[in-house]
Amino acid sequence: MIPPPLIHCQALAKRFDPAGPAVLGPLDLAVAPGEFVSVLGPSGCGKSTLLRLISGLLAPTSGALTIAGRPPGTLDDLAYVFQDATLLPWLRVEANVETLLRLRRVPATERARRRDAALGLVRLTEKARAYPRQLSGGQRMRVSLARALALEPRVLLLDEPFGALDEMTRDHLGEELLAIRARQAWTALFVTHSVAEAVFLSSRILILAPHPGRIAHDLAVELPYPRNQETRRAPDYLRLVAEVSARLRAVEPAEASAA
Amino acid sequence: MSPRLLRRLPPLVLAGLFLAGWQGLHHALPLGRRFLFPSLPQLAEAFEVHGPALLGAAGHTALASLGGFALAALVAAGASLLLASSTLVRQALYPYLMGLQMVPVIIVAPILILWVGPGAPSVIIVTFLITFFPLVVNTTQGLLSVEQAHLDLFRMGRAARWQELLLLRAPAALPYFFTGLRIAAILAPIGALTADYLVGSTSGGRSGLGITALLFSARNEIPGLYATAVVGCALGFALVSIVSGLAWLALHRWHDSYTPSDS
Repeated sequence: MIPPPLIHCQALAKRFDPAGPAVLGPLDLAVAPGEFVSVLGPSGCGKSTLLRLISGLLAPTSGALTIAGRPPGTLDDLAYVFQDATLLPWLRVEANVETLLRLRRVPATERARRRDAALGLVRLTEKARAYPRQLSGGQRMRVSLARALALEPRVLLLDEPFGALDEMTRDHLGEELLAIRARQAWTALFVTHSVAEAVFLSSRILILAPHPGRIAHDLAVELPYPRNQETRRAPDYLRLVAEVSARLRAVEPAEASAA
Repeated sequence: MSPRLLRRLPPLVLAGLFLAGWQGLHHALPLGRRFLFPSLPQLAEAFEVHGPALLGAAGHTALASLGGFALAALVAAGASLLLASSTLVRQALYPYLMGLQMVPVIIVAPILILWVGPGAPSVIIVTFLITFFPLVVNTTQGLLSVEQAHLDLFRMGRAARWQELLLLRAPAALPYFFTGLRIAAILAPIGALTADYLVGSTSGGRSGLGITALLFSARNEIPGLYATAVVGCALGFALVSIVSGLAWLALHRWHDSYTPSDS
């Protein structure tokens, strides 16, 4: 029996200007529990818009969207990791990790438990008392991840979370993310510009095409988990990276006249 | 020489040069005009003779400027929260706030004397009027200058409006509040002194530096007038130091205007 989809979009569309063209959709998508879905696509294909619709930050113009059978913006266990770490500079790391729990009025002892667990997952327990400006870019991103994980999320939305980091840190955080996923079962929707990152992390890759944003390709990534440094050298991995790159290039607009 | 001492040296040298220059200027003036610019010994004498009176007056002015300043900080914090809460409120109230700053003290003064009477309360009100505007403008600006990404975070966290205001906007506005506080700290003693001059109590023992200056001026006591100016300056410095200390306490651990210590 097929489990009901966790994220379900039916003819979902978004236009910012009522008279203008649709930025996204109409688009159909069903994400099953436990999937790690990466979203690739050229700029302006509506990747971030899709994520913001699912998070409830944006309201759809038309179509239906449910997460675990509920309308967006009503779930307590949906977490969002932004492109920047967006830590509050006046709070110590520990308080930053607790911020979302505090907003939800989670009692202090429960907050502390989840905060410690989340900091442990991203291996930053020893930085709990530090202020964000005392951390490196990679560490800040890990705190941001810990803040999302502290919600003990069922759905994790990640909007190019490692985009601003150098490649080494990026690879490293990718591996950590998978290690955490092995211990905390969440369903991920991961927007990225990096094909290699998408193939390495995901169980499924969506390639969006622009004007309007729509799903051009929906590919399963059948590499076994756990994945590690070895995976990056495996022939299957390299073949998939080449294939996804070729398909991504095919949906990129040929001429840059719009720019 | 220790680096600490080395850091203190330039201002000390400058102070020496300043005093020497002062004395030199006094002697450079023609004899008949030297009374306009008292020598250092004359100034010292003025402090000796008028010391107790100056100290008492400085105390009254200090209290009044602190009172007006604290009142302005409190009301500005509250008003800013109100102003930041909605564009409509802001657009409606802003012209009146500006108006408050534009009413000349010299016109408010006689009205205050009629309503409140001369004395400390009137001085505090004038000081409040002078220091309120920079505080409310800066703090409101701070409450509105929150990063969009942080607002998205709070919206994602389904924060209530009061949570957004208290947990996000208020701490983000702290640096702006302290900028306003610094400006207000400079204005407050000047304001209190001017206010004392205009609406201060003239009954013995309750007047501040403004009335003191008025009396010196009337009696042609030029060194006393200079001494009053020095005391007024010192008050300003004291208040600015207090504010700088508070700002350091509130901001040094996280704000970029303070370089991170190697802790």
